[in-house]
Amino acid sequence: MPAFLAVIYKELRLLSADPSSLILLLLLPFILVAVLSEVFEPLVVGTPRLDLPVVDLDRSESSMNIVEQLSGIDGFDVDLEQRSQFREADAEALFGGGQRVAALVIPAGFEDALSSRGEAMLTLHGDPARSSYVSILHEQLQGRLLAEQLSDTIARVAGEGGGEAAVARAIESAAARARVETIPASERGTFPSAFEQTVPGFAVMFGFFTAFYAAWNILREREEYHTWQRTIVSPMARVGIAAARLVAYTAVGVLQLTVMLLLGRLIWGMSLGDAPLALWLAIGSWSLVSASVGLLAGFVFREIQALSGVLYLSVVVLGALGGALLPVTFLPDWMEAVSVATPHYWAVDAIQDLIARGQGLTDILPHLAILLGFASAIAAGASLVRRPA
Amino acid sequence: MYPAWQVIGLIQKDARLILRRPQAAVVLLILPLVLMAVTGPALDFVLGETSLRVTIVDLDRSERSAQLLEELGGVTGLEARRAERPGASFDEPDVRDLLDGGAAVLLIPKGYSGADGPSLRYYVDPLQAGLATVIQGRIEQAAFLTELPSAVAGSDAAGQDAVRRAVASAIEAPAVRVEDSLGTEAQGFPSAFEQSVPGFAVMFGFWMAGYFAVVLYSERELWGTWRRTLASPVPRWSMPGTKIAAYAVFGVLQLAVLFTAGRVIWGVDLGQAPVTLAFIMAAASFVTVCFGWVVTSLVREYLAQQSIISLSVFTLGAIGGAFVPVFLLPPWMEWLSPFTPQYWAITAFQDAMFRGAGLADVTLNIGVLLAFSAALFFAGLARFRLVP
Repeated sequence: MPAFLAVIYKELRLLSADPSSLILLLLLPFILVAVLSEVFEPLVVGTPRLDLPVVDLDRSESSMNIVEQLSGIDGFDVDLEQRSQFREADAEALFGGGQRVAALVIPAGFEDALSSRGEAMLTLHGDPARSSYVSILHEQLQGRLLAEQLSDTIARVAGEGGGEAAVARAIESAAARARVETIPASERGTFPSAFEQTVPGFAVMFGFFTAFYAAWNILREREEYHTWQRTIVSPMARVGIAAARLVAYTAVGVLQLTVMLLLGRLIWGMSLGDAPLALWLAIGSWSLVSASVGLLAGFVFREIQALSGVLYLSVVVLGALGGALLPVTFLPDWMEAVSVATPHYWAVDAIQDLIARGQGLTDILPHLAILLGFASAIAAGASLVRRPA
Repeated sequence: MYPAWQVIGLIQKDARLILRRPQAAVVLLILPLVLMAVTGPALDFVLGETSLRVTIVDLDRSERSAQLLEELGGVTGLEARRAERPGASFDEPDVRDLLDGGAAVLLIPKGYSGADGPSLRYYVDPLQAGLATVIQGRIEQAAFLTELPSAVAGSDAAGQDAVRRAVASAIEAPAVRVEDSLGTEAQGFPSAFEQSVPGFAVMFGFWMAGYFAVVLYSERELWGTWRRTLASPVPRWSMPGTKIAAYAVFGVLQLAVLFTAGRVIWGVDLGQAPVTLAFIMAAASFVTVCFGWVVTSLVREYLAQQSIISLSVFTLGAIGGAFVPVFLLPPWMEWLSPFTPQYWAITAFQDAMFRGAGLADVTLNIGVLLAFSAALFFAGLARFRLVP
């Protein structure tokens, strides 16, 4: 046992000998998580707010009514411009180099058309590089304008045939009955914030950098410091040496994820769920998987270039496949099927169950078992692939 | 003046270094392609081009609930799946099983069609609440249309007729309509892949900075080839310059392969201006390599170099609009975006591919990218130690 602890102590001393790298290891994932969570927030929370430049060429009472209706719609920041003419090139200038998706033009003669023919047209000039968003915007605008006009139209048509009050009652009754009660499908009872949704995935994804750090240190010990050779001639079984390394790097992983989640709690007020022990076990199991991968990679690779390439690929690709970037249900069916074969899937799902869905230890026991299975298989693979000597 | 062949020899040496280590292709080519393959379909979801799966449980089994089911079948963006619940029972814990990977469960409760019946219940997976909320508006609209006839039936005959005419008039021929105009030389509608390929190509093209740093570190600290080159009869200060030029060429090749793969695999339209694309690729590659150069000049530790470059690939890419279009970013990020080279590169590619822009239209973008390159190069030069 003292020998086992001595190897762990040696590993931690090696880590502390390079404090700048250790600080980077702890902070790098947090910075990535912070930036990417901000980026994904509008998509996670729902329809994002859009700037909508409106060019009023008509400058009439009717056109002002339209602007007023649009200003009242949630999700749009209307930016009114009154001009006397408008060309295609003006639309491109209004897109602001990709910072706006479309511009709405109220053409000259809008009010005349409305009063003489009873109908008029608005033009939505969309950025062709963003046509999907233009379609969404178009649907929203048309829907909201229709809703705004519905009561006027109904009042007008009903007024012609009588029974206006009865119509109003019927519409009101149908609208009341069409209401949908939205309920979160989880034990938590409330919807999680954007950070509570995104942080678990990114934390797992970038927590995987621990594997790179573990492998890189093994490589350095073998090729640069030559402390590996000294360790294996010590009176301790090789399995014990490998296990001590696993413990040391698992501790680093747990520290890394704990720092990340605590900073998330302090800065964004993230809930960490009601089961701290379960959360700690989940991040511990995930860190053990990362440390095992680091052990395997450290034994397999001889060159830092190959190690970097393969581990970066693993961080990003396995993370994306495992649902760390976007929910697994967004992936095509075949990828969704593959995702359960990645340890990332089980780690992300377990931490999301605890933080975003408000579940407890018993709910994530299968996840923990599968993660420990992955860690054991990978560590066993490390001992088979190549002798540490 | 030294003969040009000596400089070309240096570039050839770097080409051999790259070709001898095929693992470079993993990060430089396979990584972006796999990520495009993974995130492309996901972006389809975000753009609303793929339907959201909603399980519907009908406990009412009435004529009206059947009408609602029929109406829901036609709702855009909703893939309705029926789940049978024999015996008209439903417990809250059932919801998790019923979700089965979908976004939500819509429950038509027992007694829904009655005069004061309960309202529809929409159980949403907390992790898909954003998109499920968008669909909720469409479900309410479908329910409204289903409810309308029975609501009207309660009023007198004149009222019923008036409502029918009014609704038909308001919905089928609204007074104010909005028409689309995409008005540029570009034709067609870019797909999710056409929106994501330029973004991810630029974002992961930035890994070339990491590879440049790896090779420079290895040459200086591990292989000893830097010292050997210093001893060769080439101008000493041409070494960083030729190395940057060589890796900028590899960067162009990398981007060309990524865009070509996008064209071949996902049918991405590369536009009508290949020369313009080539110029943008060259400018973007120069910035990338100069970034790798400045990092290796300022930071000596290998892990620190790679950490800074990894951080930059993701954060600058995200702020520059690679993951999510700039107009969807939070305001402070939207403000920061033009300070990243990725923003100028992505905008230039999209201009050339989808907005019908030619070389003259993207001059500003290319100029900004070259200015970034020059600033990074000289910042690195000030701190670079030729002899390690």
